[in-house]
Amino acid sequence: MNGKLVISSSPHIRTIESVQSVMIDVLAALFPVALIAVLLFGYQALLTMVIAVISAMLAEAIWMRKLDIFGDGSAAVTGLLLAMTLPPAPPWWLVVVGSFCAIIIGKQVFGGIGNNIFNPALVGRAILVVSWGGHMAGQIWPVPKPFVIFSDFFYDISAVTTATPLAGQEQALNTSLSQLLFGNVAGALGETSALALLVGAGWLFIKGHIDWRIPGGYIGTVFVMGAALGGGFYGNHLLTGLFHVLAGGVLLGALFMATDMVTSPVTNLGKLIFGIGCGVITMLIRLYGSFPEGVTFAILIMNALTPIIDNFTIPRKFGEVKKSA
Amino acid sequence: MRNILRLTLTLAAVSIFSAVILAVVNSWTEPIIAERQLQDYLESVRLYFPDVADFEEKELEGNLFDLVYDDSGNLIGVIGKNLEYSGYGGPVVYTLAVDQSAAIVGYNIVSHSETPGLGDIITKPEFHDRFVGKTLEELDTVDTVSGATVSTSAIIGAIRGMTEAIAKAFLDYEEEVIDITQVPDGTYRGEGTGLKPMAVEVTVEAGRIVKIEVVEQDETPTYFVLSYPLIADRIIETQSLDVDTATGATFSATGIVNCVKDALTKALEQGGGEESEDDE
Amino acid sequence: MKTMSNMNIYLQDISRGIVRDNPTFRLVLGMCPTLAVTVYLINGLGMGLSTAVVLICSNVVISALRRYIPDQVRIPCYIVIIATFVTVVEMLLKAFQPKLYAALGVFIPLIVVNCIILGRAEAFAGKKPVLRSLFDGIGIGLGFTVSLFILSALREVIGSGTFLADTAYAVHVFGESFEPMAVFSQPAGAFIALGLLLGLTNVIFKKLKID
Repeated sequence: MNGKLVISSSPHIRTIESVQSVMIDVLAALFPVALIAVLLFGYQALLTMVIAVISAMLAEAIWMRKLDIFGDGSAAVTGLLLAMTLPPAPPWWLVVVGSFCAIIIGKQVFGGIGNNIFNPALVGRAILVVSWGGHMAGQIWPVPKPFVIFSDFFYDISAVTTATPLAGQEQALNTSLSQLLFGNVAGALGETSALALLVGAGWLFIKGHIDWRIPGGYIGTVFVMGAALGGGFYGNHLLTGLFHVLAGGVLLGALFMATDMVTSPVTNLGKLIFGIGCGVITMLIRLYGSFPEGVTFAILIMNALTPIIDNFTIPRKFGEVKKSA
Repeated sequence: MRNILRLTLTLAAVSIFSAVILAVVNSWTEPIIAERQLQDYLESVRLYFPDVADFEEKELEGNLFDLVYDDSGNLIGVIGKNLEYSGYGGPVVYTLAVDQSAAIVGYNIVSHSETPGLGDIITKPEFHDRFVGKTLEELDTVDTVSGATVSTSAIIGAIRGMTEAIAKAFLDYEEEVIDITQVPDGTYRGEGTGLKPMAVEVTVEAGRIVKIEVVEQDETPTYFVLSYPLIADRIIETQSLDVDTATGATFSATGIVNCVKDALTKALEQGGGEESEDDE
Repeated sequence: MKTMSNMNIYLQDISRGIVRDNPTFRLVLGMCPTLAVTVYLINGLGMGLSTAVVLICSNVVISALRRYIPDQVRIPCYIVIIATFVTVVEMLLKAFQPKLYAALGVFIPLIVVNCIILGRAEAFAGKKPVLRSLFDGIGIGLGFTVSLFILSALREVIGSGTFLADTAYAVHVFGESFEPMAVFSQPAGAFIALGLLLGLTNVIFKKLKID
């Protein structure tokens, strides 16, 4: 790397994997859901994503005073992930401020890539939600206009808006599970199509970048709590649980945000605990909190707990004897 | 021993020094503070009642009310202070001003924990102005705000209930008692508001309510089943609109009662069954 | 010549309180009021000045009494003296600045336990002569006020879009239609703003080679 001689103790692992190659895989994995978002929401969705990615890369380049704007690609991933959590047609300045907050407050002040405590994209989103609730939640979710003819691309989707399916039981009942699966539903860019998210995550899974434990623990917990405490609409508690998994940002969060390598635990047991914790907090906020959606804050809170989880779940060294109390 | 004495004396000396200073400053500032607080309060009352000259504090069911009088000692309104109800995000503390005809002069949210950007519309002038000038009866026509239905319907319900309590306690307000025996036979439609607008059809036979059917409603299903048919049965059983609406779904229950009231009032006004429709 | 060098010591006491031993950005003391009241500039200034007044008075009195207060009871004595001045400031604010008093609320009585004041009493006023304690109080008090001024100005301009709100000089910095970044007027933003400013101070001090 950069022609430097790196000296470290054994064991040595050789890999052609670099930060850049991983980030490009993540970008590829986000492609299906980005495509669906553009098909559903038209040019405004594309614009939001482009602004987010460019301003995130710009923020990183300015902070690090470098000319190579793509760099290791992590800024682009952060920008795209942030765009996925935004409404389809936010004001442009909202996207830019969000990207700058994500890169600078979320990542660079901690020392740059690898040193951040919180998922940068979610830091950006959290700041936006708390600052401009009116633009980030409420009646601002455009009704999707699926791409049929070319002119749909330029359709102004913010003309017809609705509440997110998570706003209440009434809104939930207006939404069918197949809508949630294929994405023809109001929501943030990356919250629409569960199927596209699963396809993208499948790619990351095949490449070995994500582990089943975090998404498994997260989604499983959401399903169980949704079924047990969700109120049992759709006439069936299991379907209510499924609704909570498919609606909103749980899949996006569980597959792409919570699995961020830097901010999640490294041990296997720790990953499972992390996922379950995210699920519990998400459902507590959804069912009993004052925000309709809780994925952002759930993952951020668990990010903060990651060092403690790691500390408690460090595997015992081979041959180590348990200390007597 | 001497040491203990020294410590004690030092502490005592410091304390006395402190007490003297505090006493002097307090005697100087106390009247200023009291005067200022009275002026501040009169100033805030003046926002609602510009003619205020005097007020008298009364307590009712744990809440404090100020009866506001003008120069010639006439009661011009009532202000409820630090009233509380539970909104979407938790308790909301507010001040309510009602004039002598039981119409809303205004309210002020002292503290709340409704969702920023959504539920906090209750603190905004555009929502506040929906109440201004509304009498007790007209309060049912105040609309909720979609996206903040729970927050807004909670404050509408709270203000309506509080205004009714104020009117009964301080303003010699007499509730119209509907004499059901005077209502001609027939089926009457009445409208009102629970969580959302709703409508009922009331069937009267021989001066008795025999059937109450909710024909239009958009209530939250889980709440609605708590109030209907329970409330309808209670009304039919007692032949009175003064039924206990505490069902776990107070808004829906109150909505039904108000619909029935509306239906019977209209029936009496029209003096006959012209409006009646066939039941089936 | 001697007065000259004395003057220098006093000036040094003041400048040290503002820069090198700045209570907020260098010593990181008194965080509770710092985070809580800096939503609006006028509140931050009011808090800073109130604390400065209490600090100066208590420094002088404690320094004057330092030979008469036995070691074993010095902490209770300091607390009583500090609490006295805090209560005086509280009564004066209530009488003459009721708006500021309402905005600062419980944080005025809490000046009693502000670690800056007890810290200065213990570390400086309890050992040094009256005049130096006076100037130390002025320096640290000004340092605290300046810090709160910077923090609350930042938070008010970004978080509310105003400057000097609630005063006769209130201006909308970015115009009326600006949608402020509300997170900075909320508790979470207090931590973010303080963190960014602490980082910035460290960078500046490193550049200027002040330790």
